[in-house]
Amino acid sequence: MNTLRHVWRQMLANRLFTGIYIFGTALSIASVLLMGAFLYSKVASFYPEDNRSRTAYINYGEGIDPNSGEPYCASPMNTRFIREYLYTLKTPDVVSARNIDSRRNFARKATGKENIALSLAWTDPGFFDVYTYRFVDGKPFSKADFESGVATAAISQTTAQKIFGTVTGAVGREIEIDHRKYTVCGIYKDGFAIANHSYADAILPYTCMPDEVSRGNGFGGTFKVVILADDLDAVREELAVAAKRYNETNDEMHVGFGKSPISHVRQALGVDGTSFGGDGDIPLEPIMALFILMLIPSLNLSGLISGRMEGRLVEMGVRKSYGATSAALLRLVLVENFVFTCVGALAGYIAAWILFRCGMLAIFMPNPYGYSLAMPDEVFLSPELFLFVFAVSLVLNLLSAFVPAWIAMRKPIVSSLKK
Amino acid sequence: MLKITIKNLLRQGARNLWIFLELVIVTLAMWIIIEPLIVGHADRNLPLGFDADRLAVLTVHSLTPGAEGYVQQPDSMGFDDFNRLMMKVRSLPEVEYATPVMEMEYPGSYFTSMMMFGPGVPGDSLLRYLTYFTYYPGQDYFETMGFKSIDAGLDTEALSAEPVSQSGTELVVTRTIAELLWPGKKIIGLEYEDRWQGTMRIKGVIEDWRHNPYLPSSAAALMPMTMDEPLRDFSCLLRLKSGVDMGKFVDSLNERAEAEINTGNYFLSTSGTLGETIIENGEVNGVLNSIRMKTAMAVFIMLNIFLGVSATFYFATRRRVTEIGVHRSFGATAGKIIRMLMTESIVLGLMSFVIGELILLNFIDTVFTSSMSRMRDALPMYDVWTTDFWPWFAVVSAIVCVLLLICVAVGTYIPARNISKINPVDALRHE
Repeated sequence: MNTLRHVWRQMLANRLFTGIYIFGTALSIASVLLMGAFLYSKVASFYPEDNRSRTAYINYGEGIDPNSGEPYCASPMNTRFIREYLYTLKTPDVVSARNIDSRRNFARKATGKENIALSLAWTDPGFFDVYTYRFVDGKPFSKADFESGVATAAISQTTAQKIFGTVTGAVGREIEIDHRKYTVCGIYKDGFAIANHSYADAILPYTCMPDEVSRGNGFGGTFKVVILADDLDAVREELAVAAKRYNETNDEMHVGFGKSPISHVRQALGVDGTSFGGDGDIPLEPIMALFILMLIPSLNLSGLISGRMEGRLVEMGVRKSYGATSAALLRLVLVENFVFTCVGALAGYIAAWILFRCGMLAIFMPNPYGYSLAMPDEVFLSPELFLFVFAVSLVLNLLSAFVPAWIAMRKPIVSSLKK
Repeated sequence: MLKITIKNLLRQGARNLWIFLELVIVTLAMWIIIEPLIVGHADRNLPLGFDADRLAVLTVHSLTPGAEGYVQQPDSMGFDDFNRLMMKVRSLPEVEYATPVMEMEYPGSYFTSMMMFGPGVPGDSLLRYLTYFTYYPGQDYFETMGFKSIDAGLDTEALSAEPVSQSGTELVVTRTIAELLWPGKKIIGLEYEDRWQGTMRIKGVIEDWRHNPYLPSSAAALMPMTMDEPLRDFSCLLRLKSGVDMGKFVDSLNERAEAEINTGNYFLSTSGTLGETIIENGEVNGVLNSIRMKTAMAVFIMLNIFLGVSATFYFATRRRVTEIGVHRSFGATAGKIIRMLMTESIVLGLMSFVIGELILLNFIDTVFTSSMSRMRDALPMYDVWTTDFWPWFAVVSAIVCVLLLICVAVGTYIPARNISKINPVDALRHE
């Protein structure tokens, strides 16, 4: 309590120093926190990707030269190949395929001739087991609808609002997408564009797709596969068996699966699952960025503290003459600065929250089609991120306060008092 | 004055140590952040080699069986609809030339061009990779793109119209590819070997062009293709006549599509200018995102320098009240005091910058691997300063130095101005 009172008096005694210290710390903490939130959003589980810890991806099949056994190309897969060789996998709890064709799609508004751009997911019923979309009305398309190729679509609340002008009563109505009509089977709560594996404005069974697009030659096509599984090594063994089965009937080009399946975290680190891709080394750029975001303000604050310590040499000399040890004084200075850092960290947290809600994180994310880059609040308010802020504050405090304080404590009492 | 400045700085040694250290680290950090911004900016401003200014891009799709308005047609009718559509597009009053290409396969799109893996020139042991795009002869491709033939045998229109040879695959290469693979030779009729495409005859040479506006030298060859069946979904590039308002034209197309473009099962899906497409490409590839992030980091760093320098100099000048008072009592004006203090900070900044540069030179190979490899592997397409070590180093250093000194100067000015106004009597009484 005495310490806190002492710190409070110190804060009031030199308001300019306090203001600059707190502002500098807040700036650093806010920047680190925004970057941390962005990186965390790539790996943390949130709606509708609540199962990220068990999610893995088979993005490509690899073309292998039958003579040399060397892979020489990689491609997403077609549905014929996926049905025959990947849906039959026993180890995963769920296997789901999704089209990754990058063309833009348009839906016509019910009220007139105006078109709106849509992001579509051509997929299968397993998609709703992997991604926990919550339906506010209706339900996802069924296995029977999927197998029959019924022209049906689940759409997001925002899409329903844009097309029909309302969310209620949209189930059962027809929506026209790229000149084809689909019956709305369900309306789901919007996902987040940053969760790009699951994001879609409309989710449709790929059995509705034109054949030429969903099929392809050999194994090549436009589909990627996502699975829910605990034992990825077992899945890899099964994939090797599946590849062998395919290769026995195809002499021109064999298939392989490289390093697939890859976990969500490794995918976030840039591993694509092929033999040509990297191994998911921790990327240096964000770490360097975080380091710079902490180091430069630390040096700033060190300079400030160093300057201030000079002004407090007399005080330190007097305390030493009354028996205070260097360690006790060092602790005192560190605690004082830690309180300042905590106040700055709190200010930084609040500033980061405001910027987060204003969509500041959009600067970290490519957005060619102008989607809303909102983030779920649970990413920012997570205990992990809070602990991260606390740890950063501690590091910042140590980096900035320890050395100047330690140098100041080494000065003899007499020279301090002479000052 | 410089002697006095350096004396003052040395006298305050320890006090300025932190800011000195910070400025050294900031020099290194600014280099890492700003170098890609500067080089990227320079790359994007290199000439594209084709006339990008008046190009618009249409995406045309086909209705599929079951779609609203789909018309079942015998196969032989397919080309009629395609040809009619192209005729309609070319007849639009604003359009000078139009050419169909495979969807997304045009310069500036985020399409990853196709690669040939060589081996390259027959008899040449050096492996030569080649990037290529396809085009359809007789569809005004070269006229639309504004490519220029530089081969004496065929002019641009003739090269564009020349049909695909029955005897094998052909290639149109750029000046740089010709000089690299066949230096000093007349190359029309010579051959390039590819593992998958086989032997290809060189049929023409055009001026250099870049297919990716975000890479400095990405020369691509062109392969003529026969259209065996009408394209189902494709992109259509339009060269508009000069004087046409591109924005208005593109915006009007949605209204006019039904009457003036849509034909048979073909319908206009999207339209835009090539400039918009290039920006979209930049977003999809993350280039523009990277620029935004690095700019935000640079602003953050400069703000920190400003904060650190102004706070440090504020406290430093407060300790020098007596000294400033003595200067004032000897007749120094406020302006002279400000100049003296700012000179100190700028000299400190310059010293930190020089130390930072010396440290950087020791690690430049490991830190800037992509720039170093670009210097090594750059195609000799343009006289680009970014692919020459010393010009690159000098330009980036100069920009980093200027930014650093601006922040230092601005950060020092405020406390310097405050202290310069001090009354000498008050200052000496303080002592």
